[in-house]
Amino acid sequence: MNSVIEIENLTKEFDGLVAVNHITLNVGGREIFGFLGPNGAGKTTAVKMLCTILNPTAGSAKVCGYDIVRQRDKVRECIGIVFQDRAIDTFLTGKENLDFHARMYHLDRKTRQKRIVEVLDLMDLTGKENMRISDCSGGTQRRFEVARGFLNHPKVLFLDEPTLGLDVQARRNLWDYINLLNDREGITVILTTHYMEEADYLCHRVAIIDQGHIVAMDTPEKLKRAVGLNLISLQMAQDSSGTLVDSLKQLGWIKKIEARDGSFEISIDGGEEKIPELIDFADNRGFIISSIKLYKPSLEDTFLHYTGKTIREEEGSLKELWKAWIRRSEGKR
Amino acid sequence: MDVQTRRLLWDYVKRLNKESGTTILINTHYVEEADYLCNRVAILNYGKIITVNTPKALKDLLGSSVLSIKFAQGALANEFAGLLNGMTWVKKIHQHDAQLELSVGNEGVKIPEVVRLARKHGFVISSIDEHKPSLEDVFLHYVGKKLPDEEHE
Repeated sequence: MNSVIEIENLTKEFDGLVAVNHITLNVGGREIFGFLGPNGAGKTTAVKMLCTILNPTAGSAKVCGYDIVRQRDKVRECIGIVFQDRAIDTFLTGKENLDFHARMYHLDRKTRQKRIVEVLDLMDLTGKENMRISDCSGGTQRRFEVARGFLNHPKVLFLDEPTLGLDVQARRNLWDYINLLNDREGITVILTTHYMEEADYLCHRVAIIDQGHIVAMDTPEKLKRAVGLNLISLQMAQDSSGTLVDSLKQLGWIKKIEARDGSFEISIDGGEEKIPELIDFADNRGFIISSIKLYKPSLEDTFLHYTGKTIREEEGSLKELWKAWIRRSEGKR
Repeated sequence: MDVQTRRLLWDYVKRLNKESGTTILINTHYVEEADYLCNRVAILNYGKIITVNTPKALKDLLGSSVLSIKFAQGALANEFAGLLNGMTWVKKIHQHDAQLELSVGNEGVKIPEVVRLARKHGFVISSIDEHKPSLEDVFLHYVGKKLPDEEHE
């Protein structure tokens, strides 16, 4: 079995609060795996245990085959971490930062030089290595941090909110580099993010965590499908509602039809592949579809489905909303 | 900020605007946030305002939407691309294997017409969908997709 991370009943309690509650999962080699969850759900605690920063209260986990409690040094050798908060020395140049980090890993001088050239090249940072970090853009600083996380040739790279505060272009660039590391270097990536679009774009699989439990785990595609049916909206060239509805009912993958003056909303068990089928079906029976649009649930819809109500729906005064916001902000860790 | 908190804050901002009549200026990197909240947005680059408009008008102005069409085999996609090449409403064609991405004008040809065109010429489309431009596409249109080297604060 080629699991790079094996987690069994992993649990962490803080003074009676169960932050991570019997989590079991495996992450395969070369996977980009996302941990999603509201603030305080336990994802950071889970990741900290995998990185050997925290010890579990119960259960166990292996990273690259090494136990996170008994073989911490071995685990540390095979992982790289990019923290959510900037953890790079802004008074040093990029190269000085990389060199310092490589020394912390006890790499000898020759290996240090070789690796630094290599990671600079990989992250397209060659030419910028002698700039002071404080003079670099946010996106470049972040890339230096990812480069640093890769210095020890980790098999697993932990990225905690990697694109926080980056602009659109820098964010997209970083996504490309993460894919590149995964693709070309065969590295396993563990990502935590609050941006569902980011998780959807990057992750092969995600686990949604709420109150210490895994409430859902699958590919983004499957999770989206599991939560709600896709919806097709149809406009007809002529009013033909009654008879078309009757015909459409023959199709097994059509789950619900709502007609309103010349247009239809159809809940379907399927996706884009049903569109040509539907057009052919209607054409063959003399009903002309003039426009057709597919609506799919987003990963954010899925996330909210599993982690609780959208607070947007909450009734109440401005004052109560404000209080609720303060409450939630304080709950953040 | 997690998804729930973000939405709560958005709601708060909307209510503040509606109930107290407060004018709100928002600076953000999250274009989705601007699209959801703002009556109007200004896109700035190099210290200059490049455009100011409602999110909807900006998206409509960008025009072209993209049709993604999949075939059972790459060869079919290739042949169909050849057929489309002569069509005036097709602005651009991208092919990856058995998939075609067509840029079409705003007022342009719709999905049913493409399906019928394919059928008329003996092609079977296995899936098709249309993507309208998002406000992020608009942003990138005006500001440009920069190379990593050109990123700046």
